[in-house]
Amino acid sequence: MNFRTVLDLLTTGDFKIRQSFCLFKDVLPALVNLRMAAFVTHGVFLEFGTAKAYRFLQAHPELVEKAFGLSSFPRRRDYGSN
Amino acid sequence: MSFFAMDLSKVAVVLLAGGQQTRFLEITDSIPKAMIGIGMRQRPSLEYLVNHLLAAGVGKIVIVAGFLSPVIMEHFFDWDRRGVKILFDPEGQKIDTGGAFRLALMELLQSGAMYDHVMYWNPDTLIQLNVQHLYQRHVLSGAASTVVLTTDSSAPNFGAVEVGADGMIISFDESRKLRSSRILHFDQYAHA
Repeated sequence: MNFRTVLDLLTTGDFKIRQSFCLFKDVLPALVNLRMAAFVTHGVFLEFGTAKAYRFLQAHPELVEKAFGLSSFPRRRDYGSN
Repeated sequence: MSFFAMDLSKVAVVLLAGGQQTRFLEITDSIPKAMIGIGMRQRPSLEYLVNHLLAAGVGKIVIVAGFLSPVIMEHFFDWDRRGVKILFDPEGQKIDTGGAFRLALMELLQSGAMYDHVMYWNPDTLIQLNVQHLYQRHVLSGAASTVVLTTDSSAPNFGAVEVGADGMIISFDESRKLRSSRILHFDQYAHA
């Protein structure tokens, strides 16, 4: 996100006075209105924030190495994706 | 579109690791979720992610800790020279992701350093992501923000995203009612 854009968004209007709000439910619609691009990854994508998902990840530790084993440069040249 | 290496020194990353892990294991009574060992080496997911981002060349990483924050602060206590800042959420569990994110942005602003872009990444989301390539895509798109999506429709807890022909997001639908070739599934936590 462009730093100034999101900072201005979160420090003005309704967000300025609210202590608690969800980044995605509350802020996402505003960001979409400001133009939000899509970036597609075809690789590992796993949210392990639950006990069930964590156990799955423990059974497949190679996924961690695969996810973080990418070099700093892309292996594919298609624009807008991994 | 060819790829060229980009300077990410003006990119800051915000990692929110302060949530109370109510959906997780008994072990998280004493260890924050982001500090539980994963992978072959059983290192904390937060450590994997921080190293991944530093290797990509980002200029600053702000970790907002909350629940069991001393564990995170102790683990990363000498990482400030590498550009890692631990921020303790003084409001505890009273603020949601938006408030914690704003807290991190204010910290970055007050640090005096100038950052052009900020990336948000949930430490408990494992994504095979080339950060350099994502940043290039974001800058060249001219968009205010970029969201990382997956085509894996089997992933749980994900919504659907309608993407226009120009690669811009049209809408999000967490109820997953939308179906078309342009619908991609998204994780709610990765942004650039």
